[in-house]
Amino acid sequence: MMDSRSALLEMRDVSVTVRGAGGEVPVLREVALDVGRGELVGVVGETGAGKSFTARAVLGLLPHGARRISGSVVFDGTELDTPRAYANLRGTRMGFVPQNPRLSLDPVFTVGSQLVAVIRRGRRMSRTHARKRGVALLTGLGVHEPERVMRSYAHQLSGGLCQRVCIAIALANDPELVIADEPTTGLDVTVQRQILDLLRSQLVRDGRGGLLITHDLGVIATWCDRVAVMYAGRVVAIGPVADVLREGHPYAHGLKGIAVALEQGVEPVAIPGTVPTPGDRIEGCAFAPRCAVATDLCRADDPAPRPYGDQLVRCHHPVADAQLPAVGHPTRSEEVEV
Amino acid sequence: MPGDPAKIFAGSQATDTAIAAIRAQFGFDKPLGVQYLDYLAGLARGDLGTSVRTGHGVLDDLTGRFPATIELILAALIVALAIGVPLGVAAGASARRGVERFARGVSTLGVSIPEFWLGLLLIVVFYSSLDIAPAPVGRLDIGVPAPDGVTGLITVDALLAGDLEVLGNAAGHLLLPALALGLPAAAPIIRLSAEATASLLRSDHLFYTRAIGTPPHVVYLKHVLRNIAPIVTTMTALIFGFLVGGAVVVEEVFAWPGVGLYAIDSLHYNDYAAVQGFVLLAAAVYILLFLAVDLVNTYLDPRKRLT
Repeated sequence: MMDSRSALLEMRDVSVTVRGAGGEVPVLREVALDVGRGELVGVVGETGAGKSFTARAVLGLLPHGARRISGSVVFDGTELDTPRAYANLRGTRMGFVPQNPRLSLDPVFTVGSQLVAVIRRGRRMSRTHARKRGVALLTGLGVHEPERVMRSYAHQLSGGLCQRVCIAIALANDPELVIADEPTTGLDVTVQRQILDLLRSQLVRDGRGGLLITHDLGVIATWCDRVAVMYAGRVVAIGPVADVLREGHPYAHGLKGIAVALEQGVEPVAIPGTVPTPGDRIEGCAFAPRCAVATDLCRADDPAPRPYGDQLVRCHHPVADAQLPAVGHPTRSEEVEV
Repeated sequence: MPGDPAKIFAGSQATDTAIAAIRAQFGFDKPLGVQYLDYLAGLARGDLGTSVRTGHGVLDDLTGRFPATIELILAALIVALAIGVPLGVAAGASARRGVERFARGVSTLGVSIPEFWLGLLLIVVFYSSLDIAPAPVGRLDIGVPAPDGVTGLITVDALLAGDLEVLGNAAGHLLLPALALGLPAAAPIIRLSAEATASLLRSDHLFYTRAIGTPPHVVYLKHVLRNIAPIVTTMTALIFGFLVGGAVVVEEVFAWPGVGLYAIDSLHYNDYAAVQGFVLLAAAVYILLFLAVDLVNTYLDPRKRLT
C-alpha cells in the first residue's frame, strides 16, 4: 500500500506556517501522506486540524501569509518546489473539486465558459469544439439539459448541479490526481451519495488517484481505500480505512465511536477537552491532554511515526480495539446525555 | 449671493429709472414667491430663464458650453481610471509591502492636493518652464478652427473628421486640465480597487479559479478586472459628481470655456438664473449617471439580473 514506486503523490514531512500576530504559527507539522494510482485516500480531522492546508499545500496555493518551511511534495516523480513546477499541472494533470461549488465558480461568468476555458487549456481546440466536449462531459456525469446548464451562472444552479460542473471541470483533462476538499458539504445526503459514487467511479477507473478531504468518517468508511487522520496539524495515523478505525491511534478510535453513535441515532459522547488551536504551545503528543491512555511519556515526548500493522501511527501506546476504553461511543445508557 | 443683479447689469452710471426698467424686464420687482413660480413654469417649458450677464437664454448658454465640460471630465476620468485601476489592482494583489506603500502614498497625495494648485503647478512646469504645453487658454490655439461635429467634443469631432492637426492641437490643450482634474480623482479609485482586489483574492471563487489552473495573467486581466468592474463603475459615478465640482475650479485655472467657468462668471455677476441653471444641470447629469450605472451594473453582474 505504501509502496513509493507506485506513489502518484507523496507529501514528505511538509510543514507550513502562517504569519500571525505573535510570529509564525505552525498549521501543518511534518505532514506525510501518499496517494497511489487507483486509490482514493481520505483525509479526516476536526476543524483546524489542517485538512484544507494539506489540500492547498499539494496544489501549491497556500493563502496569503502562509508558507511551506520544510518538506517536499512529489507528484509523479517530480518535486513541486517552485511555482514553475506547477505550470500546466493544475487543471490538467491535477484536478480539484472545491468545498462550496456555488461560491467557487466565478459568479460573473457562465459555468460553461469556465468549463470551456479548462478544456481548452488541456488541449488546443476551437471554442465550439470545446463546448461540445463540455456538453458531453456533463451528460456523462448525469446532468440533464447540459446545454442550459452551460449557459447558466452558478447562482442559477443548485449546489448539486454546481458540484457536477466542478467535477466536470476537475475531470475535463483526464487528470492523474483529483483533490476534493469537502466536496459534499452543504449537499443533502442523496446528492452527497451520488456525487461521491460519481467521483469514486471516475477515479478508480483508469488508475487515477484521489485525495478526499472530509470531516465525515462515514464518507471515509464508505468511499476511501486508505485514510490519513489529522490532529493539530499532524497526520497521526495513516493506513487502510478498516485498520485505522479498528485499532491503533486512540484519537481515530474516538472519532469512530462518535461516528457510530451518530449513525445509530444515539447522542455521542464527545472526546473530552478541545482541539488545540494553531499557535497553542504543544508539548509531547498533541492529543495527550484528551487521551484516555496517555502517560507521562506522551506528555513529554512527541511520538515519531511508527508502523502498527498496515498503519503508520504517531502514538507511544497504539492499542488494539479491545484494550481501548469506550471513548466517544456510549456503552452504558447513563452516559447518554439527553 | 448678496447684491442687486439689476444694478450690476445696468452699470455704475445708470439712473434709477433705468435700473427699475431692468428690474421690471427680468421680473425682479415681483414678490419672491411669484418669481419662483414663474421660474418653475418656465422650467416646465424648458426655459431656464435669461442670463442677465450674457443676455442669452440660460439653456442655450449651457448647451453651448456643456460639451467642453464633458470633454474635460471624460478625459479626467480616463486619466483617473488608467492610473487608478492598474495601481489599485497591483497594490491589492501584491504581497510586497513596497507596492502597497507606493499606492497608498500616491492616493494620499491625490486626496491632499487641490485641483487648482495642481493645475497651476502643471502650467508653471509644462508651459512656463519647459514650454512643451500650449498656453492654458481655451480648447484650441487661436486661429485653429473648431471642427464641425455632432458631439461637440473637439478631440472626438477632429478624430471623426480625420483632422489630425486639429486633434493634436485639441489634445494638447486638453492634457494639462485633464491631468489636474484626473490625478486627484485617481486616489479614491486606487484605494477602492486595491481593497476590492485584496478581498477578491481571499474569496472562494478566486482560489478555485487558480486551483483549476487559470494562468496568473488570465486571473488578473479577466477574472479580477471583471469582478471588480461593478464596484469601479459605481465608484466612477461618484467620482463623476466630484469631477463636476472640480471642473468649475479647473476651468477657471485653464480658461476652459465650459459650464464651470460659466457658473463662476455668473456668480461674480449675481446672475441668478445662470447659476441656478448650472446647479440644475449638474443635478440632472448626476441622476442620469446613476441610472446609467445601475443599468451597466445589471449587465456586469449577472446576480443582479432578473430571471
